[in-house]
Amino acid sequence: MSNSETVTADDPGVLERRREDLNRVVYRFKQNPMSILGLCIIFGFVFIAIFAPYIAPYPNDAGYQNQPAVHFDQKFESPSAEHLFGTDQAGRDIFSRVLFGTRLSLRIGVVVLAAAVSIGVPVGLVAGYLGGGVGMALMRITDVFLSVPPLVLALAVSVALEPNLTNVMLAIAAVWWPWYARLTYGEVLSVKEETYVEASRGIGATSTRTIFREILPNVLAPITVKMSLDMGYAILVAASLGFLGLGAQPPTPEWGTMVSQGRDYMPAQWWYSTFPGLAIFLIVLGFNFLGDGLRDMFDVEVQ
Amino acid sequence: MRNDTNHNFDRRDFLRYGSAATISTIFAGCTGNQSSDSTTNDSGDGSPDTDTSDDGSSGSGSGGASFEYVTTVAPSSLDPMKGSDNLETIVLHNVYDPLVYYTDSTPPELQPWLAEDWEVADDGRTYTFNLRSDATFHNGDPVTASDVQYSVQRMMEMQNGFSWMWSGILSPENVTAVDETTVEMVTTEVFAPFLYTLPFLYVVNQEQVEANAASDGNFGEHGDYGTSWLEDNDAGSGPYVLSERERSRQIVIEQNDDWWGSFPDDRYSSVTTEIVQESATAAGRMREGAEMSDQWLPLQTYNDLEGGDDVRVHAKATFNPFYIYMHTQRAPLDDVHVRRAISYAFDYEAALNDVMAGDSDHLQGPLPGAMWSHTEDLPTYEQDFEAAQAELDQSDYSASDLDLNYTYVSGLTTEESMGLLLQSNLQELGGSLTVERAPWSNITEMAANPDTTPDMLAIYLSFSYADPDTFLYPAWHSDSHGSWTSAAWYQNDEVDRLLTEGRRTVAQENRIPIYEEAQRIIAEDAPALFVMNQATRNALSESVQGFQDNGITGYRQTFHRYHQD
Amino acid sequence: MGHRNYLIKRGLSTIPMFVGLSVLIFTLARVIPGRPARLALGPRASDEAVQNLREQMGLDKPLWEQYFDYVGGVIQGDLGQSLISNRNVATDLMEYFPATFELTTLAMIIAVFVGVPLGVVAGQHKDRWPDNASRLFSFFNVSLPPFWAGILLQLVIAFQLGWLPATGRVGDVSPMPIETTGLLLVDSLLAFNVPAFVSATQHLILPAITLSLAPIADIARMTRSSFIEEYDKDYVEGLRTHGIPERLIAYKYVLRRSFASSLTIIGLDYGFLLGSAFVVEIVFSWPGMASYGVEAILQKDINAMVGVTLVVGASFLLVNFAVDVLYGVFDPRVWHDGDSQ
Repeated sequence: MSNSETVTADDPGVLERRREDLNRVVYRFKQNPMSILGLCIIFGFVFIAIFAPYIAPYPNDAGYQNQPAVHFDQKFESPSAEHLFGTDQAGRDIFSRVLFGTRLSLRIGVVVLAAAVSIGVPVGLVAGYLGGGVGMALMRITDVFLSVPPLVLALAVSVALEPNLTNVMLAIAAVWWPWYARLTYGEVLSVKEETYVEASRGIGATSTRTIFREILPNVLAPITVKMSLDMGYAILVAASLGFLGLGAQPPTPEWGTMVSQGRDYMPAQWWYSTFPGLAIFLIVLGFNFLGDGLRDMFDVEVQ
Repeated sequence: MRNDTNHNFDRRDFLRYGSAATISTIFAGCTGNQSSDSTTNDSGDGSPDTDTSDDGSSGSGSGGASFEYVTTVAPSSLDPMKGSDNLETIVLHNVYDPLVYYTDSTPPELQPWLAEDWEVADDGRTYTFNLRSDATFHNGDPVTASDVQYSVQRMMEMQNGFSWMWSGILSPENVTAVDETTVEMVTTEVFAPFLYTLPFLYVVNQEQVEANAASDGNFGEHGDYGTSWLEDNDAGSGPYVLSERERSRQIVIEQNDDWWGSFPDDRYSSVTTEIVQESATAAGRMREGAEMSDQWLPLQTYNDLEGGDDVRVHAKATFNPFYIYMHTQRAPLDDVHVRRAISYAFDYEAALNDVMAGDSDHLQGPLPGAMWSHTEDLPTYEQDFEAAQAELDQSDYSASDLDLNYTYVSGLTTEESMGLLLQSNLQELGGSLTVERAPWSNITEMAANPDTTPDMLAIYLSFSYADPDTFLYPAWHSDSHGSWTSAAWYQNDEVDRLLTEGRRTVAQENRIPIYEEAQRIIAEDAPALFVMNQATRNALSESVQGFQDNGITGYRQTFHRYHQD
Repeated sequence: MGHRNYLIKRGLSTIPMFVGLSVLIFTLARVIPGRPARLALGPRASDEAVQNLREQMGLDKPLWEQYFDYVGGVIQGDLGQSLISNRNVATDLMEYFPATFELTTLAMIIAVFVGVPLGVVAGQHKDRWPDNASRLFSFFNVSLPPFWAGILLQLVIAFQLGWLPATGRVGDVSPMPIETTGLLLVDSLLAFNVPAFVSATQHLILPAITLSLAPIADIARMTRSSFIEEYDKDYVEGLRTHGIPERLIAYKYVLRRSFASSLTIIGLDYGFLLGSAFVVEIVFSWPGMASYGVEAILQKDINAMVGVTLVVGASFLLVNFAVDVLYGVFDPRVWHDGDSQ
């Protein structure tokens, strides 16, 4: 990639230039109202995740502090001032459960991407740096993973691992890393073309040093952008798995599971599926807005 | 039968996440089978004319009406030696005849069927059956003693379906065709419930099956034992003939004009089992005039249907006990006082009235009230925190030692709700409970070993033959350890002795006191929460007469007993 | 001929990919806990019966041997027995695949016919309100969880308004058309069976729309950007000075040249669409391969699970191969610069 300039830390103008870069970048970000909106949505969800116990009217309905509550005598109440999103089959407040569900979704997104990046990036770096047969072989392996839709493979992997929440996260990460491997691989190849890598080799830099000093910084921008775009998508895949019956154990609220459970009570208890689904939609939308803004800001292309 | 076990639940239920009340009943499928056939039906935008499915062939039969049975779960196998759950049995016992049959009373009794009469020798092991001479298979061949012998052999060699009932009890070489119409069976040991198991031994036409067996199969000279042919054809002698099977859509059976038995006057001469996927679709079909729905729709759907003019909903608690097993070999549940304390902490009232719809029964002891030998003279538990605390005080544990785990079958909302209810009850007592879901297949594996068996396990104990042994032996005899039916790992020598004696005692009147004593000990030991005997519902068109729910797998749909008003 | 060589190379390179996929999924299916043989026989089967079935299924052999047995079977069209349906998985797939194919194809057609014009309009009005509206619309589409979008459509269109059926593939139609292709729309047309055709169409609309939402967005965005690139070129101004109407310029000249890059995204989207089908078919009770696959995976029907995954992978590879072929048709440059893709 592309537009970053070739600098070394010894260059006296470098700090200043970096500051200018940053200003330009922030300016670009601000120019894009959707990315601001995205940022607001994400901050909103993070806020909700942190302060859920204070915002939620019935935190115990969401299993807060291991003191889960049920009120079977209040089951299926329609939305009202008391229960903004209505109640479910155990009489629990769906609004509180949706709020607490934010915690789980964010956690899944972060864990999945952290795992995917920490596998994918090194694989891509190695494949790209070594090139040749090893590189090709590694990339062929990623092709295998990419030839099946992530949801399908994640479904198979999580069943093979015994379906619990940790394994669901592992499964999604297991099908996700190839994207990062490919992205990194592509970046490494293009950086390698550029002469400064050759130059640094010329002055005796080791290969590790080359990777960390020259190549890694260049792949950071596209990876950041891809991560923010993928965050929403990973949450979506996790919710889909929850929808299919693989997800958090009760009474932990999980949005996909709630949508799925509510489906049995449609159309009369329409609120049960509707509100958790809305939450998934909003959080994914937020990450998409944000990722798009970041993409413009760094001016990188990622799939 | 086993059938009614939970395990298939995951099959469709996790897809639909069972609905609160009733779905859990789905016992449907056990055996793994269920097919993934999906349906092509829809939610009711069709015309009100319901008997369309037979593609113009409806003129058959002898002029009786056609009957549409709507189900949300498709049978997996129509091979009479593979079928083992409710859905499969529905078709099987309408198409095949066993030696003896259940009456439609509750509790069900035995009545002669292919066997006109039978006698049991004094050794309690030798059974001689006299077959009726007028029974013929659907292709015209007479039903003979050697067909019965062959059916036992096919059942026991394929080791599938209901074969577990006779495993260790009956082997093919001990079945003899004495003459054309006389069969002798010798069981390896005295097994008092034997006759009650025979309604699940369907008699197939030996010649026809062998003629249609594929040569490459796992059964040596029998090839595949005709099993793939039997998926789409029948080799039976029953009241109906399988005329069409479209896996994802429907199964059509037509009246057998040459059946030895008799149909009522306004009989149904053609029965179409229509397979739909969504309960909303099934409800739509009922409103449009279908004759009967299955028992696995959400409670809400039955309530909606009941409001309609031409549909009635039949609800009855027969043989559908729901237990929460407690692991009697693991602390703190190894202490009877702890188990009793938990039994006193559970809110049965809320379970029956709020989680369920109020028409299920609170179980008194391990047996459903409708089972013979059931006694009411047992300790039963109601929610009573003082009594619970008193029990705890007698134990070596305090409430804070109660840190337990409850596992239920994925997709069964009722079981989940029961767990959540128990969770809040234990919390009130001062303990804690984690609720965990697991797929049925994993649960059977967990229960195989005392170390992996969960502290508490939610189980619908499936009903097979109409004998108390069907519930008591698999759950409480230590020989059954390792099975999901025995997840309490209950060990009581006196109970073992009684249950064995119950099997070895032939006369029913002598067995009753044995089982009463066993129930009393089990109830005192509280190895499970005996939560409820769940009501089973079916929606029926007002015009259908002759429906009786005797609680036996598949017998809710004995179409040859039904007629129009 | 550069392109032809490229295609051959490309075609050959999918083979190791496919082999890799089969190894991966085969291994996954075999390590699944909860012994499949026990599942097939039911909870009360004896240990002996389970052991016998394991031997019949070859599950006691070493993994590599099982794999080669399986591949040997696949070559003869034998995908193994399904534990759920008691049939060969190949037979099951023949029955369920057409429904999925019909659904995903229609969804893709909708996506192209909505997404491309949307992209063109956005491109023509770059940075003005139609562009922004299309952009916002695209964001909404890709962010909608497909299962939830389906449920909302059911709630509103099917349950509230009653316009279309909520679930299933066809209504209560008699007689049903004879199955020739397995595609209900085609079969009913071949049989001139109007009621069946109408019913099948009504049932297809909601799930197809649900599936098409995300591809619409992708196609619109891709069309927009390649359109803009092409629209800036000199010849467009030339065409204008010749008095050629703007509509004609946009759709006949510019779109044709820029369509090649949209094709790539269509190929990629097909994979996502197949993935979404795994939840959308469940929502709509669509009797297709994806709902069969979900059951197979969740019920640990190992042969069915492997079969479905391989068919999904093969469809995805095939579609992308087809896209590569079409690429040559739409963009003659690749004939000379084949390997650049």
